Amino acid sequence: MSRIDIENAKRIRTPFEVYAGFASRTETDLTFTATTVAAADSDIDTSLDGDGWAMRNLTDLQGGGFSLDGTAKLYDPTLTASSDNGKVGIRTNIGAGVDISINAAAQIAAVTIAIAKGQGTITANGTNYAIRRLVVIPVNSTSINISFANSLPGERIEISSITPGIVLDFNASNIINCTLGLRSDLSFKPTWQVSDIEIQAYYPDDLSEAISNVGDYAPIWYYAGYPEDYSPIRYFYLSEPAQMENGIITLKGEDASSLLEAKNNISQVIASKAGNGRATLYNRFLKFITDAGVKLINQESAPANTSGTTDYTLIIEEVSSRDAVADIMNLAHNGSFWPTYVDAGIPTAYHTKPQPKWDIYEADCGDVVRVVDRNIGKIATDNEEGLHSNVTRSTTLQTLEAFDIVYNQVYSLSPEGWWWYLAVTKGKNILATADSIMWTATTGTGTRQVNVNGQIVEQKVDQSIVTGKACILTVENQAIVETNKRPGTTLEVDPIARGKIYGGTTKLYPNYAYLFDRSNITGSLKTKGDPRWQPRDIFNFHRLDGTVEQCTMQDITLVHEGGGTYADITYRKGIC
Amino acid sequence: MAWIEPKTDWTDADHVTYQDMNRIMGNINYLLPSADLKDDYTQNDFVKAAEWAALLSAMSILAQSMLLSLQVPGNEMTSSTFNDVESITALLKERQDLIFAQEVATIYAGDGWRSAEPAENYVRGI
Repeated sequence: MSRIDIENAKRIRTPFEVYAGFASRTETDLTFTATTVAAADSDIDTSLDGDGWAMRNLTDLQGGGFSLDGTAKLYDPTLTASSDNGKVGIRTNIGAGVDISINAAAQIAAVTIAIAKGQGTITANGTNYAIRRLVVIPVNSTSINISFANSLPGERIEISSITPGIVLDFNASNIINCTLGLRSDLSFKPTWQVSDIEIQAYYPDDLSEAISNVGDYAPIWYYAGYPEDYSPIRYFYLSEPAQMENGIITLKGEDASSLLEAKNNISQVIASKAGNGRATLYNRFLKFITDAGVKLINQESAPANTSGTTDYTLIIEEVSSRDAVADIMNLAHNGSFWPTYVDAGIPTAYHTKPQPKWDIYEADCGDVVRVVDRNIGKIATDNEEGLHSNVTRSTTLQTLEAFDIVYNQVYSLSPEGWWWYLAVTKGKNILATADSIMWTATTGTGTRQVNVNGQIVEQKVDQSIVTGKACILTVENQAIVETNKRPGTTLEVDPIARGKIYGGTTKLYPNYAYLFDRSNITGSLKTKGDPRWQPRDIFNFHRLDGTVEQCTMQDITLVHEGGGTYADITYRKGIC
Repeated sequence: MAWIEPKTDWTDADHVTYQDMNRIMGNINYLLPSADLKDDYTQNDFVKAAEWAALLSAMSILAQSMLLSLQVPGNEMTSSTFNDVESITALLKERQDLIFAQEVATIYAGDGWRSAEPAENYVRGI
């Protein structure tokens, strides 16, 4: 059993160790000149602002000497820094300091100095800063001189990196409040929910000016737990300008899924067969996510194909990745196939139906609320292309329109209906979607005289001719009712997908009938909280009456405050 | 620099101090003064790769001059390496003492250096 599980089982658990930080590194190149030191990389201009390399453990004779556990490496002043070699950084003589002159290729707001070892004071631009693991020095210039004074006579100061930009790290000693809003939407008409983090922390030096100029999307990281058992690191990205007031820094960030909103996908035709439907849908689902710029940290590989050869066609209208991802998760969860994307700082995609991961006991919870909504009895749409439809792909190539063109001018055509093959002559930079085509003319339309049956007539030449093969759509239904015709509300929807994808004999997507199986019972509770929880995680809810319900976490508000941790959860009964 | 008895019971939990390095280097300088190894380490020093290489080279020269076939230790900073270094140093010292002793004694059959085991050599008058 993990340390976190053991602590969670206690009535009063040991407070979590909470770690969070912020990195706004710029790409500006720095060069360094240092006074005499005991050891430094031979390629200091490269190594010192390369913060990704670990410090090399050297055969250092300071203090009690170096260990014989095999980790110490002989100091070779000619060895350059690299990911394999690590780096030396700058290591002062024992008891001594060092002066470093820094020149930047362009003006920088600040530098962040990472100190591996040492105590003392850093002085820059007349201001003193206590040496800590990370020290941010405002610069607002292209150069700065920094002096390190050593307060420990028998030890060195070891500087591992000096990087342009601001890097801050926080822990229990300076975090005032760290609140994570980890969100999903398990409703019947879901929209994608972005997760966020807000950190308030003490910081001893005034960074108000430097920090306010940090651009959006600087990463914020967070994890919590106990030594040797920490939650996975979550990454959020600065969503509002960082602020510093009265010695307190406030950072607000969102997870990478916020990128989904900005990605608009062209209308598209997706051809599949019964045997590859699951893989086709899952791979397209992943593409909606990754094309938006999200880098998945955990990704289940696509399901294996089977032998089914029946053709199926799906059309997805022009839509943002945010809407496409939410719609596929809403209308394709069935059986063991469960295409899902969860971010909350750990971008993850999978297609296997999730199983319970956690146990929550009602006896340990407060504010338990249970809500039972009316069931859905009918799902309907007023979209003329129906709730469900069939699409077949015509193999007949039709000529749609001829354009008189001017060289290098841009043209477009949006023919009626859906098309799985649109093409054009005399065009370049062609963008063909399921309902339009756009191109740039590669020539200009002219005329020529030709002999037709002995008569000279004038003919146009070099026109752009648009051709296409149609997708023929037939409406299957405008509304469906629950199999047992149970009473309930009518859910009005506006489908974004036409046609369908099958997996074998199972209609995978879009399948509104799956919504009838979703529970109408939701709830909320307050509990001790766990930094490993993710939206859409399944938990066994142990009720006071002894029953156990499987439920899906919808929203988790995890709060670290005053040395303690708690969470507010909303959930929906069942696996959603 | 005077000879200092080598330490041959290193464990992985041990740490090497500047005094240890001065003993290790100083002992080899004692056996081979021309090696001129650094033996004035302080807490401010690092053991450099070139200095360690010079130590291993001097040990190899000494072993060859005494007709000893020895596996010279490597660069891994482990207890095994340091036990090897100091054990070999002790053996070299013992061998050199024997050779010096033989040079001042009457050597039976004139071939006292042929055995690697000092006890097998017959030395009279010492």
